[in-house]
Amino acid sequence: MYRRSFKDTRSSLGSPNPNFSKPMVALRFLRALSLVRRSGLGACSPSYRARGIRRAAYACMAASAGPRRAWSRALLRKIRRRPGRGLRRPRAVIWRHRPVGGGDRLEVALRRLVPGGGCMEYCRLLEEAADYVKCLAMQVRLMQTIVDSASHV
Amino acid sequence: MYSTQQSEGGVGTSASAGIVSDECLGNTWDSLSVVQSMNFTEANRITSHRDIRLPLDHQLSGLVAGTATLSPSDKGRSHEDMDSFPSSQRHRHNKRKIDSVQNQNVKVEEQHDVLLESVKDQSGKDEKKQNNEISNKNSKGPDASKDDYIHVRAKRGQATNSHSLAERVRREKISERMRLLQDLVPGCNKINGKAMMLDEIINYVQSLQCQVEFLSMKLAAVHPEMTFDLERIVPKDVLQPCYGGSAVLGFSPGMSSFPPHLYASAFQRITQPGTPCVAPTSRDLQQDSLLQVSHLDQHLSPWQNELHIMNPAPCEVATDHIGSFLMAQTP
Repeated sequence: MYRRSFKDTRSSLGSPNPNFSKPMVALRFLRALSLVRRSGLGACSPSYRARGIRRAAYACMAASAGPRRAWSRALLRKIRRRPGRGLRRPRAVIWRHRPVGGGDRLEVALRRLVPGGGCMEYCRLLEEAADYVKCLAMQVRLMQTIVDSASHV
Repeated sequence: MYSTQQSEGGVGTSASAGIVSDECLGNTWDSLSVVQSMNFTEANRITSHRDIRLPLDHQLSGLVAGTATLSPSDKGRSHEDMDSFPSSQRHRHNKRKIDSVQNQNVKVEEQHDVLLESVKDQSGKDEKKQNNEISNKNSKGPDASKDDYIHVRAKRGQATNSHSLAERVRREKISERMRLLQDLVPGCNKINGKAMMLDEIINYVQSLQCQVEFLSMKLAAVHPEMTFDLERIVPKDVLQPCYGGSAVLGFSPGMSSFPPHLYASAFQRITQPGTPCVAPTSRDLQQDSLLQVSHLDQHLSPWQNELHIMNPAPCEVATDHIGSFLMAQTP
């Protein structure tokens, strides 16, 4: 069920520019929502649906941000990975230079928050964090608008 | 880089040696002691010292020889010079040479690379400062002549070591990124510390993620009532220009909860002619239409029947366009 929606969101509108545009995200998100709703007719419980919607939201965000961003790639990878699969399969991903900055707890916390922040240098981490914050804020605004409009009617 | 390190090394060992020997032979050289100590560093830079324990007069003669010929002077060579010059003449000569040496600092710097390649690399950290001051006062050239990707100028009074330069570049990059982040996170203009800034950023990201969770739960609760279907929504947007605002106006009393001006503006934009296909170019159009269509949906279903009844032909045309557009998107 989820794979279908994410494949759909993956079908990017071919926008090569890394600068996402709000309408594209909106389009993708709405499409994903409709798919989530269609598949299984809203599943069993609202919490289950909520999780699906959340994953759809992150997938849309990452897909529209473009493959040029490390965080979007890491996020998509995390979403598409089936639960339980990562443990069985041998690590094919080569851990690139893993910076050891364990002393600074703030830096460690930031690395955990930003997807894919485990193996980046500090400079790149800040850069990716900026982009991630921008996309996140936009996604939140979009969802807020949808909820508002839906609850008004 | 190589040359500066070696110059530091040369100064380090020989300056200390010079000071020691100066104190030992204080009597004869009292008048010139201050000037001598000043020029020792320069003298030692000129001459390549392989032997740390060169006596004072050797160093001075080395200074003379250095200024005259600017060539590496061995122990043997300095001996020869000493023999050629009587002591009194050496005094005068040294005085003059000292002045000229001070003026020739720049030239000396340039000759560094040639001379000091043979000197062993003995880096003394306490002498780095001295050398750095001198090199900084004289010229900022040696730094720019390095083969680095980023050419950085060492400012006055700053270390010119390649490591510190790279660190400074990195620090500037980090501060630049922090400024970017400061602009993104609301309410961070007053915070000036890096740690506080990071704290704010982390809190903001966490709050955004919580908001996403919360909103997705809310959407899940509202979702079953929403019946929007993109395949059907988009053609309708295009179909509206066929009917103008008549049908819409007929409907508007039913949708009184919405501000009518929003509706009108959205539909006006949608009814713009010349855009048969809702192309990616008309993005604003799409955005507004989609966001508002989602709540239109409940009211659209009766309308759809009307549309189908009234004008079947344009529907087909429009749906063909939209269908192709959507097919382009989906894999």
